[in-house]
Amino acid sequence: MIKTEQGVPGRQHRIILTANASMTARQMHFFLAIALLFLGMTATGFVMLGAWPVLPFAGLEWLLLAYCMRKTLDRNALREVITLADDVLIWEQGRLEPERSLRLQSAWVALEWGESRNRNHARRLFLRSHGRRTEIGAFLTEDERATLAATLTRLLSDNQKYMR
Amino acid sequence: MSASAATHDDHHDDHHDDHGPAKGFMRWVYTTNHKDIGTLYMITSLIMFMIGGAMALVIRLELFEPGMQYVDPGFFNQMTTLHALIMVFGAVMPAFAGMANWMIPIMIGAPDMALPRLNNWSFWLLPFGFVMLASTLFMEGGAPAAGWTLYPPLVLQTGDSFPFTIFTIHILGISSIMAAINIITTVLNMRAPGMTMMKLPLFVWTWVITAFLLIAVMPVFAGAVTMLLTDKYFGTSFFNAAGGGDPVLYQHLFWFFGHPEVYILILPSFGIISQIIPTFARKPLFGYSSMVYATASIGLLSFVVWAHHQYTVGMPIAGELYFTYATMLIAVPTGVKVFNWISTMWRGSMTFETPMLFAIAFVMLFTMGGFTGLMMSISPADLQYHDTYFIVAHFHYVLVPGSVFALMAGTYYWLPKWTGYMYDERLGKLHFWLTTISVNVTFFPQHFLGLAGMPRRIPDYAVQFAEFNAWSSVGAFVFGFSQLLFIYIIIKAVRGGQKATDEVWEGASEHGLEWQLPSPPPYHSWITAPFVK
Repeated sequence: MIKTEQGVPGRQHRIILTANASMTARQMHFFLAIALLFLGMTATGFVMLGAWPVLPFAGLEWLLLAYCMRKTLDRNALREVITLADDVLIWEQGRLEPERSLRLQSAWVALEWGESRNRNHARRLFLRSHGRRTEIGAFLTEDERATLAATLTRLLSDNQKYMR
Repeated sequence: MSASAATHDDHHDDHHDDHGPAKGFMRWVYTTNHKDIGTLYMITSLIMFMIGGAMALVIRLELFEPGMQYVDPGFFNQMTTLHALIMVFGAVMPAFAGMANWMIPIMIGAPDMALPRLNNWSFWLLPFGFVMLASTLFMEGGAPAAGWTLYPPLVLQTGDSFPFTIFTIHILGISSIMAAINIITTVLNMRAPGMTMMKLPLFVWTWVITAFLLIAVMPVFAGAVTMLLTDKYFGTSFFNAAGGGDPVLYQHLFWFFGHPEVYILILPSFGIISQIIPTFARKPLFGYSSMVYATASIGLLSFVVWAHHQYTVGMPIAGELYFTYATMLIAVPTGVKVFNWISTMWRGSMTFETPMLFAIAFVMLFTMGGFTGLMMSISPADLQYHDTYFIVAHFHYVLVPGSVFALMAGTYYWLPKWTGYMYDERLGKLHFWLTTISVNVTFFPQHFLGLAGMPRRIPDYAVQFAEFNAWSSVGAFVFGFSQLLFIYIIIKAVRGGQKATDEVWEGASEHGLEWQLPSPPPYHSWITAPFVK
């Protein structure tokens, strides 16, 4: 998913890229609540009939379910942020905070398409500067990569015009 | 330019391209790849199918004619118990889990399962569980012999193998729970952009509901068998009337698990059939949304009908009426599904390749099994059917031409995608006809045996039942040996043959994302998610 934010027109832009994830935190909580309700009702019913050992098994299972879903949701947090401010382009990648980053002079940045990893996969998009390149938006779909390339090309061009 | 952390360059950015699997045996031990784990599940289930099938042949051999011929009654009961436990937990459930592992990620456009290491664990618990269960045959007192229901107080007479049986059930239960959690998490979180819940392939939908059923009922079964263990070894009296307990409580616990378990075995079959029929009818599935809601309704209703297995223990009339009507209600969503499959075929441009033949046989024979189930839902009538061969005929019609036929149909349907080679169509059709004829020869006469009063789980019987039993045994042996042909067809396709196209079946690419991948798919597929319109 691509989200674009604008600071000073023509000078400051931020593009936020997030990995595909079809589950939101709200949906996860809703699902866990239904599972808890269901398991809770069943276990309580059997406890009332004297079969209390069902309760710890139901509780442990729900905890495992909640832990696994939480871990998955944490993984959804991976994002890339591309900040274009005056003559600098900053690329950052991480979850809760940047784990990898790169600072480039925007005048020297070019976008480059590379071959896909294999047949049926999307072409790869790179930021190139001073002979080195870094892949961006590896988790985006082909359509999203094309949109990102077009947006970034336009913003870099606008930025150059402004800087001149 | 400055880089504050590791960055790629020209020499490194292709470093971890589409690499294939690791080499050697340890690949299979450490693998977290959904295709590898799917393959492991399916190979294991095929081995278990043959072992459980061999046990069925021991049963049918003894029942070929009246009198005691080959095995003693104790061993006969061990065979009936292990046959059921192995077929349910070792063959059918792992086979569906294998197909889910292989197909769900590539059907929803995900690169793998959401929790790959958990996936590895959930598979590798299975072989340990089965070895432990099989080892009970060699223990003092033999394997468990109380039937798969493990009713107390009978099951408490089991010898040294009792705690091993309970531990096996716990291990297999943990494996199933982990697989269910993985499937739910994968489907909820890893769908490709544009793949909304109401665009999910039916196979995926049925598995989501199955996984929810597994999560809902497994703790009940785990609790029940743990109580059996504490009753036997720790002096509790959960099910001991002399200590203030109630053996009927176990029946409630077991069937609260056991009835949804039946749907755990059949719902993924509905999903497979709903994938196959539209492909070979060359039409979209009729009534997709109603199929989804019908599946969900069947899942929900499965929680509220458990006591129809217990009419003969004694129940207030209001209870009998409730469970009779609630059980009959399940016929409504099931009927919706059957009519939708028929409507999909109606005026379709049908062809009859092996997967379609199995799918059509499924629709006809599963419906027969469903009708006999409807007969048993009527509590006064069930007093006659209970614990007779009529029940054996009913659940085998549901599970063999139901679940097992759907698994065979699914295998033929997706085998070219998995292996990259077409199977031998001529042999496939031969396998179909041998299997379909023999399955009816085996189980159809059992209806008559049951209605005439032959009880189940007995090694000997009155001579009046001899003829139908002989037919049934002949059918069972033909069915059993026909499955060697199935294994040969699979091995032949794995080893080579006519190359399969990406689409495999004409027009199949309209019916799912899996057909847009090469045959076989790359080791890592959908690294970049497709966009589903």
